[in-house]
Amino acid sequence: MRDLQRLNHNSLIIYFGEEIDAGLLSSISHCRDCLLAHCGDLIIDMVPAYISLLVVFDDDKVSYAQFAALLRTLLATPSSAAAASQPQQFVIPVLYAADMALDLLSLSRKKNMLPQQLIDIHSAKSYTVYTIGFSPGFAYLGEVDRAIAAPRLARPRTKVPAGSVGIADTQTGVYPLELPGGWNIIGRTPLRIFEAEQGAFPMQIGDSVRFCAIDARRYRQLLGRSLLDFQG
Amino acid sequence: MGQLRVVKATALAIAQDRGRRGGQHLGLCQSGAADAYSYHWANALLGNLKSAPVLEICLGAFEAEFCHATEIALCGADMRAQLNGSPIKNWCSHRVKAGDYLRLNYPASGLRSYLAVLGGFLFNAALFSSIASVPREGLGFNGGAPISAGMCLPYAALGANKNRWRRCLIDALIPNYAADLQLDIYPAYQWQAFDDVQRQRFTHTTYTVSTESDRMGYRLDGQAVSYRGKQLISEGIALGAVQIPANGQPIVLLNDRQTIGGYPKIGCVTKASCSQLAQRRPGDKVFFNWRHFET
Repeated sequence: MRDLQRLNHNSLIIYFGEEIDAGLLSSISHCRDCLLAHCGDLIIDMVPAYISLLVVFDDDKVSYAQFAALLRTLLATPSSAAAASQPQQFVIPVLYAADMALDLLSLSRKKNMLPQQLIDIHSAKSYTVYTIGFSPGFAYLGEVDRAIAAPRLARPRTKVPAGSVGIADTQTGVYPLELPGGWNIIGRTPLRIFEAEQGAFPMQIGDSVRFCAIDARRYRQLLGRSLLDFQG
Repeated sequence: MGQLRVVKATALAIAQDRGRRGGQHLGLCQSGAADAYSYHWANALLGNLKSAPVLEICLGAFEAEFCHATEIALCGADMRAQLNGSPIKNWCSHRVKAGDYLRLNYPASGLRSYLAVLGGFLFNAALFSSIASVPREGLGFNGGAPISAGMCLPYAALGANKNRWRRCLIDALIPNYAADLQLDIYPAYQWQAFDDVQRQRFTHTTYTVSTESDRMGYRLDGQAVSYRGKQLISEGIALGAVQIPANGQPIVLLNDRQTIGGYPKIGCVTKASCSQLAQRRPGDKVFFNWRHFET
């Protein structure tokens, strides 16, 4: 922990570094797990993102001074580490085909490569979850190979179909719902990755995600299955 | 079980409560009553739980019939409410009989009224302990959609307690939504990256609430504030955070804000000021005042 800053009546933010670094994610996860284990009943929300952790505490139960003191004590004591939650691994099947891969052709042309090369590069790597936000169940995954990194579309779409897999700068991700968006769409997953009814989403920061190419037949077989049930 | 039969409602009438707890790390916004102060009093006047579900109604145009006896309270903007054609006071509890007809009209000042019923509305929970409707997420009561004519909203058929005194909030605690609003703001986030000139400008300007203002945030028109610091990395956004986008026009982020963002922020507006701001309409005037944390 580098810096703790009070934000308002019931929120504070902890900064763990100054630059994005996958190595920071385990410090952030550890801090989050520690807080949950030792004072979970005082915490309303926690939002981990890249280099920081926002904490919203219950100011009906504890004052800022008390909570900050508790937090500093917990984090200063190495032995107060909760059993670190192990990062999970996810595999997301993707149909990288023209009618779903809305920007695949234009992006591969821009990158001077064949669409298949772009697909191979995208699906070769294991990505890390850096944060979840913008919409329920939208995980920001990094980092994509520079060769396929691309800025957001100059004109975002008003509707990106649910399940769309996209690239924005050096990040990739899956749209959990139909949403407006400016990411470069290169394919679509048949899986339901966010369970709206329960508000359930299985990924956490630090988890790893790979994409694997499937064909149209497999897409139809998997359509509507939940990411929660499907692994492998 | 009691039912409130909705006869007329606009798209600005939604089910709300104190907001979700424990969903922000998954990207679900906090949501909850935008004017937390009025929401609190609507429930407190009835002795309800602090988190009891209510209706958040904007700008009147709401009519409904109570199918069973109960008690209600209306707090927030004065919508010149009428029960069976007779006016009933804002910021007060009222007994209601089966068949009573409620009508809310366009308020002279303020934006939102909170309608609470004895025991709270019985909306099924819920996501992270909340029934709050969030249209842009399609989540919450009624799939995030607003209240509409024809709906029957359930409440416990407790009847009115004839032995209970009627409760009203004292005048001294009733806010004046017609006044120019002072927004108390804590210096926070990237406030140090704004130089003295910018910080001075920021508090010596009267801003006007723009038409691009809603439950996600209020965009203010006025003196631009410049940020010349380094590019930011997306981080969690606290309630009341004041974002300074590229055009320098401040945005005060409220309950339905996105959970993370990478624009610079000059500070956080206090909870009380957020409640007041949520009652302002386009054209209303606001100004900022630095407030410091008690040590």
